Amino acid sequence: MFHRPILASVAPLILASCSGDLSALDPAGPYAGAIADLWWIMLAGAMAILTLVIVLFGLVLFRPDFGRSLSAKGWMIAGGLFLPVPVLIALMTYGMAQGEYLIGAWQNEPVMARVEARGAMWRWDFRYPDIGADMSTTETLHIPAGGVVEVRVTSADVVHSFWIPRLAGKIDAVPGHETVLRIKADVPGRYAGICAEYCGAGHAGMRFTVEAHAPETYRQKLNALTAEVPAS
Amino acid sequence: MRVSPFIQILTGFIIWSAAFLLLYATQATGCHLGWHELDIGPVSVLRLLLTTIFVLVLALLGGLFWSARQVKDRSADTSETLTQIATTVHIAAIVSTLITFSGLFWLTLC
Repeated sequence: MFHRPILASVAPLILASCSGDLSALDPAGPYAGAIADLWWIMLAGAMAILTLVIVLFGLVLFRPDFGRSLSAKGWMIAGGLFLPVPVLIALMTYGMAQGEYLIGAWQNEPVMARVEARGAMWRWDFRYPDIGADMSTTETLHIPAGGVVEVRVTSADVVHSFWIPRLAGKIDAVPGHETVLRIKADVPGRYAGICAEYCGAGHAGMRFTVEAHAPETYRQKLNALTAEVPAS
Repeated sequence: MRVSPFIQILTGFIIWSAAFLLLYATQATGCHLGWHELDIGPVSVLRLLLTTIFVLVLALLGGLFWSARQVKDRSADTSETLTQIATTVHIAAIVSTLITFSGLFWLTLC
């Protein structure tokens, strides 16, 4: 009777919390989309399993004869092996396949730009070898929108983690080692990035911004930055 | 040789743990030294090495499972129960090995 209007008014509030600058559930590209899909699949699976257990519990409570046809050992094997093992194998396989997709193993999509990200306590520096050896920015990463960008990540001191929740998954920034991540923004815009690995007192403030530009203006914007001409 | 059933119960997953460390260490070392770029026929040296370790671990676990089932000393009920548990744990270790390490056949190594 009354629960429909309540649900109708509460649902947008709950769903609104899924959006935001640092929301992995508000993907702005295919890589973040793949991770969000995995999250939704896991949520649906968890809800299905919870519902099944609650229903079985209810049946046992209200229908005491329920389940007598299966022995206690049978229930243990069914609930402890036959239910979780296939679910976990399926989830593991799907997760691994998504991982392969995220690192670009199964794609022929050309890389539109290559950039380097270097974490240091407590800031991010970016370089653009495609455009020029001396081209660099701090705190803001410039990328072209609509294409795959390969980010080579490293660290100057301790282990950091490079994460743009709306564009891709996390990748560790390891000193003395280079890790590679692919990101893609479908449309031009500003996206927030953070360090996702505790790295000392300034960790919480180790944020950066990603500016995705239309491909035709990307190079121009970067050139304008290095020439210290305010880019319009 | 009579092995304590307690030792038999522990052995399977200790071997699984050691294999986990060995496979990860081999993968990391191989990636660093570029073994994934050296091919032997259709596969890389690194994948071949990891597959060899995987097969050896399976053979070791299989052998232990077989030997646990050969125990003829059924002098006490407790011993019999523990031997039964040991063989079950060996099966679990073999299945865990097959599931958790199967990625080395098809995932990108480096």
